[in-house]
Amino acid sequence: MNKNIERIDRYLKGVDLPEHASDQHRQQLRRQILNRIERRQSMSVRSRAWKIAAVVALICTGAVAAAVVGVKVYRYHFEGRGADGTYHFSGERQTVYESPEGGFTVGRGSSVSITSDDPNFTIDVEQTRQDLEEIAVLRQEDTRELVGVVDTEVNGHFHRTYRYKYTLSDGRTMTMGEGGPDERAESTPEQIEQDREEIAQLRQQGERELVGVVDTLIEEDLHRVCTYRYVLADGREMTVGEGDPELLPPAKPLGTEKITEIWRLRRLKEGEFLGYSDAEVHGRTFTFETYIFTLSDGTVVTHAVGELKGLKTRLTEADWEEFRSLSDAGEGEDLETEEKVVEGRVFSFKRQRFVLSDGTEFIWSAGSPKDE
Amino acid sequence: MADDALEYSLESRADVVDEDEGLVSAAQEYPEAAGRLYDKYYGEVLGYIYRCTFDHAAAEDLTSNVFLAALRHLGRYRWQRVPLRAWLYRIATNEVRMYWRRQKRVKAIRVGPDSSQSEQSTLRQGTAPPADDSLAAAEQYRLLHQALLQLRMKYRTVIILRYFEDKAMAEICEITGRKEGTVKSQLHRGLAQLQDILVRWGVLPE
Repeated sequence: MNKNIERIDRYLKGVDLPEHASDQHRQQLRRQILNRIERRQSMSVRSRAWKIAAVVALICTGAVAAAVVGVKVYRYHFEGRGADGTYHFSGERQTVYESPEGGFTVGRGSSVSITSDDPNFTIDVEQTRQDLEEIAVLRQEDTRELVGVVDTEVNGHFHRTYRYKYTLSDGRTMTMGEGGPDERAESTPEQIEQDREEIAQLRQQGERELVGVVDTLIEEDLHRVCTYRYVLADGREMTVGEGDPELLPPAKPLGTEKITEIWRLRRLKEGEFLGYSDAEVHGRTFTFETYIFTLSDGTVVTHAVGELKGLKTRLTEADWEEFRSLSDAGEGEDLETEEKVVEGRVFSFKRQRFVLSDGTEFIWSAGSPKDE
Repeated sequence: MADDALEYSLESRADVVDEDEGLVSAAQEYPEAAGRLYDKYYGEVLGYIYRCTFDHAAAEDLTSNVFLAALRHLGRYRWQRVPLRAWLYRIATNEVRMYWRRQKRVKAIRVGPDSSQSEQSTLRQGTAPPADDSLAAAEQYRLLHQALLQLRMKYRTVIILRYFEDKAMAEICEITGRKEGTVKSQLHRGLAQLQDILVRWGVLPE
């Protein structure tokens, strides 16, 4: 023991530590946990029953549906404020391309979340909505300045976010974190049609990978969307949401309005969280995060979003909260600084490594322009 | 029948894997297994969080969060490279950090041996030490807790784990996800700073 800290070492070893016990809390929490497991068990049994029913129905028709949702965004509306104080806005959706044969649609949508570390923060909702619409125009004109880039790696999976500064007509500036350009939404109809044909061929050859599943259950009617990843001949990767090839399309289609409402409720977390459970879909195990939502018309929906089980490739909201906490606490391990050229400018990236409580390795790399 | 199946599953696995690992895989389906895990770790986790927060109500709230989070993520646990105890401590440590962070944001706590009266009024009702503890011991811990709150969270965490939870260096590494050299360095720096504070406050001699 270093002499400098001998005294504090002795002092700490002699401290009389306080204890706390509460039988009431112990029992209450125990009941809560066991109830959740029992509830999850009953959900799992019901889920298996729906699957069997759906597979039997498939033999009759063998129908396959394919759909990708998307639009060009000009109008935003306010969705609501989540329990954590985040303001959610979503853009009006427009179809960019629809196959003449039907069943294949390409478009673009966007949603904006505004949050703050300050628990008392508020925004002018209508003003913000108008600002977002103005920014949508500036974005299409590319009247903006790239002021930062944030690269992240989640268990080795790379994601990039661009930070653009927009100057509004009244002189105010807003900085937005955005994903990269959506190549498919920018493509010509001819290119999209070529891609569609190539994807159809790959589908027939079974050259695709199931990477996500969304199950929506309404009154025993299961609506499943499988997300497949296709790699085109030129190396581009495309993900396409499709109906489950082994299931009959549901008796009653959900309709855009209900789908939109369900995802809105999910973003706002306005439902009952049932927890996580594992299920196998087409030979791959997915971890489903399940909520129960009550729609505005009183319909009760069980909505489960499944991610491939194993090392996660994206952070959940809880993970982001944990990351912020670790970052504030200075828990990041400094890695070497990097320089990268992004959109013709040299950015210097300061990299830090974090390990989250579930073992996820997360690398945060914030880049700022080197010429500033 | 279900009970028989559970016992068989647990007993057969116990020969080849850690008891916790068998319980974890069973706990996702069998409430009995989850109950056994809970009973095994509840007291330890609550005690740890209490010594970090020195607040009865907060300790209970955060302990609930830890076990509910563990239940939610149990399916992913097989990918962890840490023992279950360390994993639970890791979740608990993160809950405590978020608590400290919220506390820091909501109110600035005045610290130091002279500020006990004002600080006492800002703390929650449950903060007062139990009546059957010796007053001197409670006062000693209260001062020490205040001094710890002056340290950076990473220093505070390793000191509490090492001295109050009696964790070995290897286990602290598992809990914090840091290398041994880093933990040793954080511990040393944290202790030196803590000593300075306690000397300044007259708790330790010059």
